[in-house]
Amino acid sequence: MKISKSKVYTLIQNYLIKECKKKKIKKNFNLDKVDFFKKGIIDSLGFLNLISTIEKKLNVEIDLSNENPSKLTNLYNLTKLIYQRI
Amino acid sequence: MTTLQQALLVSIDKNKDKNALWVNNKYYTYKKLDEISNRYSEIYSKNNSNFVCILSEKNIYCYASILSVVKDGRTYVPLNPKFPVEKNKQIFNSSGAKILVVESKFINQAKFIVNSKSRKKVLIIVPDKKLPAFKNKISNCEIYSKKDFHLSNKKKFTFRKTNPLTICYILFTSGSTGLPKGVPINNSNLMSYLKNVYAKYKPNFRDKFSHNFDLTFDLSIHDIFLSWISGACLYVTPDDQLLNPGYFIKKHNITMWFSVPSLGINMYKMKQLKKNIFPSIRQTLFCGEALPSTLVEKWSEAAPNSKIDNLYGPTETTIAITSYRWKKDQSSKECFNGIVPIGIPFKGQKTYLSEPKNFKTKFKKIKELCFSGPQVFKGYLKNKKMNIEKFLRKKDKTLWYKTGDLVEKNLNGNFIYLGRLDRQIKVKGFRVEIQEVENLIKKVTKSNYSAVIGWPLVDESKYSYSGMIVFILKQIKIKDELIIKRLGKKLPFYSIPQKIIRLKKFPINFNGKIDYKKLSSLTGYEN
Repeated sequence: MKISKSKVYTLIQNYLIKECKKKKIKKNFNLDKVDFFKKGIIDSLGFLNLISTIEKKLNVEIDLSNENPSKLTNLYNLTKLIYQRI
Repeated sequence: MTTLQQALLVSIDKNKDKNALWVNNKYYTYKKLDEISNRYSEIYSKNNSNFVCILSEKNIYCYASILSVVKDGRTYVPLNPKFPVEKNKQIFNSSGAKILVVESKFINQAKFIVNSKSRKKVLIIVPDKKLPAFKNKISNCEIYSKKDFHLSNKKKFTFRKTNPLTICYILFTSGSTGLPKGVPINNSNLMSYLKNVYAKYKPNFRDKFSHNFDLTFDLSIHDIFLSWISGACLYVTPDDQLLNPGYFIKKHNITMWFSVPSLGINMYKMKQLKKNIFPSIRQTLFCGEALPSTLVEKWSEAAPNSKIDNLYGPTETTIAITSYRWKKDQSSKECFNGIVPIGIPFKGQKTYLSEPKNFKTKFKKIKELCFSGPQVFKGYLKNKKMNIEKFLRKKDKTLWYKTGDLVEKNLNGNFIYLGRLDRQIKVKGFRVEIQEVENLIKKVTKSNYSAVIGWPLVDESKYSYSGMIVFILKQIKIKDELIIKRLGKKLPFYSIPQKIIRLKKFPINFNGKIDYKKLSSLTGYEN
């Protein structure tokens, strides 16, 4: 079954929104563009959890080991990279 | 050389044009770093405080100020911007420091930290910004900012002289009372450690050291000073690169890797430990937590040219005091419950295995590990009670530091770490070693993460609980009932946990270890 880019986008977006709520971070920014690592929405363990959540929900394996981490920390870029790899 | 100051001055002179530091995408040579650090020394001379607290993120100003403190024969006391401000204030007050180097973005924290009526005049240095309007805003403080650094590069300094007993740094560990305990490490302690690791790992000017630790974690001292006395370059891992440290290792061809096992486990989960992916690493060190053999096996495939050592040591014995070298064909047999041994003591350090107090076990070989020798600190800062409690005086008047760690010696003479003495609790009147239960859960669930806490508390003074709670990862497929059933086959009835809580992830403290205090709060009841 082909997985759409918008599905990947929504999964990441929902995860980030949940984390914002949990950490009581006011969402007065554009989630598409914000660096969610610098903003404190997720840390390195949270990122690991996000990837495994997507893997589980889409039943795929995601390998980002060759990617520059600084390109993985916003919603738009991460969606693009994950979509290319599944 | 008997002091770090001497070792650093020699190395700076010898390696002037070589790179000393890579931070925030920029290289700094030894010469440049030395020049920047000299600007601080001129300002320090306006205050006679021996202790200098530093509150900064990892940047050039931060490392230059660390170097300047050591060069000037003063004592380095790191604060942590990630700590609650109250904790930083406690550390600042306990250390008795009268100099505070602070990055401009933490200036409001600094105001709170130095705000004390009884305090003598404090010298505040803000190295990264010109602050003309800021002066006189904090009472009883003298503030110097970037605009006050006028030092000519040619000016030669006469640094304060140091001796082996001069305190090099003070780190604060969490105390059971909630107040942090200051651990002063003198030049004799640190030089003994550095000589040992220098002889073991033979670092040189071609080496590229990783630097993953927070500055309040003593393993950061290893990275900074071992690399600088060797003429090597220190590569400061940016926070966001911790999402994919493998990329950082490959990009910079890191040769000396040092981290807590948790970071390695994360890398494995992120599929970063592929065969021969890190050929540049020649030495890997793990420390700070129990090291699972499964991680070492994966790591040795990813970094086939690397020797892998498991280091062990409390802050009180200066960074690390024992080591175990992983040997491909032999070591897995030496592991206990899948955990790599902590090995044998460094040269010149003596061990004593003491009968653990208030600890009953059917295994007679389990002892409390005690150390004596040049790496062992002289005692906590202004804490008489702890100094009496934590040292053992034998008949020959030797003082032994009691680590509180339980070990067993195997047939090859290597120590096996079995857990903490003070992680014992009483459940329904029986003594339970929490580490033992955690290790078993890891085995049953085939996971590297498990944590157990006593709950709910029955009698605070006796650490007595009426039961225990287990924390495991949400994705573990085995049902709770089955885990309890399997534990029941191995543990006495009172050691079997009542409840299992599944977590998406474990809360981690500033040192990258499981945060047990946070886990307690997840039960809904504070212990």
